[in-house]
Parts: sequence; structure tokens; C-alpha cells
Amino acid sequence: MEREDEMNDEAREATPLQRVTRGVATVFFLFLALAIGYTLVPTESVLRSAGKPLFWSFRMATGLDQHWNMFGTISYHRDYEVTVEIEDPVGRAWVGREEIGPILPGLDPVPDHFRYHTLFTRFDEKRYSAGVDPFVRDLGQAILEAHPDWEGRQFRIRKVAGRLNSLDTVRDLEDPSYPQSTIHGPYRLIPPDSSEP
Amino acid sequence: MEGFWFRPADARVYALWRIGFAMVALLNLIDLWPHRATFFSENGIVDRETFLGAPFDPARWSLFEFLESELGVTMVFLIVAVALVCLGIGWFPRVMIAIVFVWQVSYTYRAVPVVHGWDILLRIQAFLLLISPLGPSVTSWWKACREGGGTERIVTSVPRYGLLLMQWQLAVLYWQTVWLKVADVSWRNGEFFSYFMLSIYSRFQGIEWADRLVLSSILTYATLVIELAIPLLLWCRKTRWLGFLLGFGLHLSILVVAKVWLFSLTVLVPYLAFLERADLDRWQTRLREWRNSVGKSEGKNQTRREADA
Repeated sequence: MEREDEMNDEAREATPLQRVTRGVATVFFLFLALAIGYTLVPTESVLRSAGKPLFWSFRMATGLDQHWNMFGTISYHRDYEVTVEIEDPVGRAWVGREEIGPILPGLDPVPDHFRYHTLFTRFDEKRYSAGVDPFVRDLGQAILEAHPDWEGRQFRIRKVAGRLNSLDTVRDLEDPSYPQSTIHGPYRLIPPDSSEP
Repeated sequence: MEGFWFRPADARVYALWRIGFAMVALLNLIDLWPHRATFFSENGIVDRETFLGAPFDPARWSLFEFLESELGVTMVFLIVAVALVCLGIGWFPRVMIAIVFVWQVSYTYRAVPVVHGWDILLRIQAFLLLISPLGPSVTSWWKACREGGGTERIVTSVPRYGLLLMQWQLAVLYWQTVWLKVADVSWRNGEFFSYFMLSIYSRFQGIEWADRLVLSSILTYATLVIELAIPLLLWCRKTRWLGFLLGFGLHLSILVVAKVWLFSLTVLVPYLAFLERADLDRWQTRLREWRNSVGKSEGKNQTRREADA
């Protein structure tokens, strides 16, 4: 209590410069609180676009940009697998190769870590889909470096998710999920300096 | 208005928040360590030009714009690990939190597609700590505790604005998440918890969760009510401990059933900003009493052993 009184006394005895500094700081803290509170303005609201010129750059530069939609909907996957398949030149079939995984560097298989599930599912979203082409380009180069004799063959990325059934179906079939495949490709294995598209 | 932000708070509360943040941020760094080349280097999966380039978001900035090699990324990780340890201890904390802030912004902007909610919360906390008082160092606190009764020397008052901003941030987090959740059908019909337990995020994926609809409804709605109420409970002096109890109960439960363990730990750190001087004094008194009782019983045992001898 004594300390609080001392601090209040200090505030009363502040020099004009200190008072100005405190005033500026007060305005800044108020702006910070508003910048954080801006998160609560729904994205569909006109207030969101109205506040954007005021807060957007500041929030981005300071890292205050945020959107708390984690678990806003159910996770639709029970399991998830990403593999690389190479075209078999003889039978024109697609073959998964154990020695080749999609993880760079190293062509490793996908580790059992939730960030990889996030990464590969986000690659299907419009916002992040621009990241697929550079990834596939680098993956193709890495495969060619490891297996130069595969030049001219094709590869593709297969993502197999165990998609959750509805709870009714789970009860009826006693099967929690069904397989759902997404394929990126095919892409041809060609050297980076090749003129072939 | 000025008095609202500058009213005094116990510097030890800032120290506890700083220590809690440093510990969780270090755990996050350790969790990212095996994947550093994949997510942050030029040889990895996440393309720098795509996600740091102007078309994605022009206001983004990142240290990883200039550091792309695997060695460079490894060096950044090592420097940040040292900075986090020093920040937790309280050695040159202002310099350390500046380094950690640059790290938090840099990695979350560099590897956008792998970033989760707790990465963002750590980034925000780093910024708020950067502009806040950081409290006494662990060594000075420990020394004062060992000297018994000397803790008064480190109990100083500092402005409370940083704690207020952190409290407000936690409220915004909970309230926005409730707002977004109530629009979703599985949160509204109470089936969310069953689906969650069947999903890839669950540690216990048994299909019996499809039958537990009543339990699922209770837990789903309870989550919404708790998330809505926690900030209000924590702000009200009479219900503060209920807020702590419900918040810790919720997040420790998530820690047990979900694979995203970092989420729970990260969300619990801002709760420290709701502590008050009286709480810390009470804990310190209890700790001192416990140490005295342990010391006395050890003394008695020593006397008895000497008598036996």
C-alpha cells in the first residue's frame, strides 16, 4: 500500500516532460488495445474494412495480426498419409517408392508431427496453393539428383486422408472413416535448365 | 485514463509471466528443431518467395529473408535458445526479449502454412513483453528468498499496462473463438467433442465416441460457456480463482486428450498476468513456512541421530 502511495505521489510530482511522455504512452496503449480488439470485429462487417487502414499495417508489422478460428470446425481427418509415386515406364502404372518421400531436404517420409498435416492440407486451400508449384519443382529436382536415370519419367504426390464419417454412419458401419485421395501432378522429371514446359 | 494504465502492479507478476513465456517458447523451439531445414531453409518445403513475397502480404518481414541456408537457420535456432534461457533467468532481459520478438515474427511469417494458433499467441506475447516491465531476475529473487525475509528488496511496483494488455488479449482470444464456434453446426448440435475424439488430433480415437452423444454435448457446451466466462471471472476479484480453476481445468484436459500439447501450455501463460501481489505474498509465506518446517524436522532428526550415536 505504501509503495502504491509512493507511486501515486511520484505521478503527482512528475515534471512536464514526464507528464507529456505519459500522455503519449497512454494514447499508444489505448491504440494497442483497440488494435487487439479489432480482432473481434467480424470479417463480414463493414467496420472491418473501415478499420483496416488504421490497424492492418500496424498489426502486421508488430505481429499482432490474429484470427482465433482454431477448432472452429471439426477436423475432418482421422489419419493422413502423403507419398510420392513414380510412373513405371513399362506398364504406365504409378508406383510408390519407399526410398522417396515428399519431405525436403532428404526426400524423407512425412514425420508423425501435426505441423505436416497442417502443411499438406493447407496446400489444398486457395490462400496457400501458390506454395505447391515451387515445392513440386524442388521435389522434382531432388528426385532427379538422387536418380538421374529417371529423367523424362513422371511423378505425382498422393495424399490419402481417412475422412471422418458422420456419427450416424460410424455407429451403423462401425467404421470411423473412409479413404479420400488428392493427387498433385503428374509432373515430368526434367533438369531445371531444360526448355521443356 | 492515464491512471488506469499506470496504476502500480507487482513487478514479480511480470517476472512470472516472462519466465512462463520463455519456458513455453523454448519448448516450441525444441519442438521445431528437427524440422528447421524443412520449414525455414531454402532446401525445404515452404517456398520463401511465395510466402514472404509482396503478393502474399506486403507488410510481412522476417529474418529468414536474408538467412536461407541450413547452417544459417541452425544458428538462428541456437541463438534464440540461448536468448530464451537468458530471458527466463532475467539476464539482460530487454535485449533477450528483442531477439525473441524478432524470432517469433520471423518464423511465423516465413513458414505461414505450418503456423498454428499458439505460434501467433507466442508472437503477440513477445511484443507485449517487449514494451512491458520485465520484473526481477530469477537469481535476485532466489537470493532474496534464501536470505529469508529479504524478499521485500525485490518487491517493487511498476506500471500495470503490460498486464492489462495481456489480459485484454486473452479475453479477445476467447471471445473471438466463441463467436466463430457458435456459427458451426457441430458446436451448435453438441457433436463437436465426439468428432474431435475421433479425429487425427485425438490421443484416444476409439469409435465408442460416436455413441457418447450426451457426454459430447455436455463437454461441447461447457467449453463454450467456460471460454466465454473465463475473462469475466478472472477480472472479478471474487471469482478470480474460479476463473483460474476452470481455465486450467479446460486446458489441462485438452493437454491430456489432444496431440496439440503446445496449444494448452501457451494459452495458460497469459493467466499469469491476472496474478496480484497478495497471491505472491501468500505463496511466498507458505513456501517460507514449509522450508522452516522442513528445516526444523531435519534439525530434530539430526539431534536424534547424534543422541543415538
